[in-house]
Amino acid sequence: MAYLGIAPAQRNEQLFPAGFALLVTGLVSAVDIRLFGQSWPLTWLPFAVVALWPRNVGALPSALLLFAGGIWVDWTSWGAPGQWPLIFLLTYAIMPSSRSDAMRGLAAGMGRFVGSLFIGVPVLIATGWVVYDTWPDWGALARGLVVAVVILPFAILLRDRLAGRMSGDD
Amino acid sequence: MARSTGDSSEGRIGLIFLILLSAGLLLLQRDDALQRRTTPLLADDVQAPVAAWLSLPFRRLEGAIADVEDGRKALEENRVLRDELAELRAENDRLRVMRGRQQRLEALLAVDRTGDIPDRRIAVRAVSDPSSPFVRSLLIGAGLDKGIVSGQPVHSHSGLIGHVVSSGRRSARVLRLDDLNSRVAVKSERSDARAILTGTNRNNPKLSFVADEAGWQPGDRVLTSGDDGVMPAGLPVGTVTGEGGLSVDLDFHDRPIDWVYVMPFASLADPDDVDVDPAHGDTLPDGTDAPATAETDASLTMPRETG
Repeated sequence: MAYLGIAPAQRNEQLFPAGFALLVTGLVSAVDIRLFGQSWPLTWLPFAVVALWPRNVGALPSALLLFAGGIWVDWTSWGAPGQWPLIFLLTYAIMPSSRSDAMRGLAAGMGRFVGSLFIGVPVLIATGWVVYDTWPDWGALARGLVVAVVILPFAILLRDRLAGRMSGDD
Repeated sequence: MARSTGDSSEGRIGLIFLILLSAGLLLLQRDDALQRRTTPLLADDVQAPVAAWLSLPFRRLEGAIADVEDGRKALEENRVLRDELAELRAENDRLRVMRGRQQRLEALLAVDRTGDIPDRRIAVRAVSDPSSPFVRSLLIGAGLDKGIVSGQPVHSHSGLIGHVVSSGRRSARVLRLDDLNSRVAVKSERSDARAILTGTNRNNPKLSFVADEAGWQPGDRVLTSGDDGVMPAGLPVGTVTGEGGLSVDLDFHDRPIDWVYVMPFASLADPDDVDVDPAHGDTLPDGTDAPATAETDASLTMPRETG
């Protein structure tokens, strides 16, 4: 929030690594792991990037990147165009913003991801119902979330370490 | 919208506009999404090599786990296989004799073998086969460069997986049998009863349009019937289970998909594409006139019964 009419400085350079992460996780989301006779998809990794999206950046460039990233994920995952952009943008719009220093750390990152799921999962189910006229495969949905929760701590630690090394800040 | 930093009225307007654009896109592209026609082939061509590289460690892990499982069962399987081998050798001798007889009869009758399983197969590495909440597809690492085109059946060591629905230069997308949009004509090996295998986005697709209920029992082997003109007849699909009505346990789920085989099978012409004008005779799909009628074409003439 602006104080005495002075807006906090926007750090749009943080959008480059975030956008790059969205691009890479979009590619990875097409891959799955087959264990215990089941497919464990990496579908939710791009969503994790959105949940941890930097907050002290411009809303418009963020929205444009999230829209483009969502379309990219739709293409790589063979989904309906518009589904993932809608999920990303609504999550970004609804999730309460916080200062970047409050977002640091494993627990905060995991909390933010789990909180975002309360928006992302219902939107996915609702949009899927509209397009495909059926409920999702609950097993695949749950397994995808489990994979994301297992991988996310490593991604958060990697992000914090890289961010600290690059800027000494976030 | 609870945003406090990096915010501006243009940002808010832009965000709302993009949300509405996404929703509009979703509704406008609904039919194409249902037909799985929405992904640009270029995206697949970019994705396939990268995903193949990224999936390498996962595939190795899957292979190692499968090897351990196989090793555990090896002794027991070895004993069973030895017994089967003895039986199959005798069966093989019988089949050779029958094949020779069949070929002679087919030559005699000039049998059309258009719908047969092709002898040639194209081996391709599977890049990924994720089961996402709404889509069951398979990305393979070869496309037009290897002669893979839409409609060709794809199977693994275990059984039929589906058919190619889009083919790029170096990659192709396969619609799996368990995808929501998949429909394949099948038959029971035991009774020859016909049905349509309908994907449900679950592991076990269901049998619909079942004409003969009694012809289907749990445990029946399911094969493609070739009635749809899209798949050759006789490809193994799975086994009927009694869970939740008539559903099918697909063979290809038995093992992780690593290598797949694409069959260069030319599907039969869509009747809608054939322009038939009774006044001027039959016309082939490519617009050329039909070569001959049954009476004039020697290859279509049945031998006359004598005596």
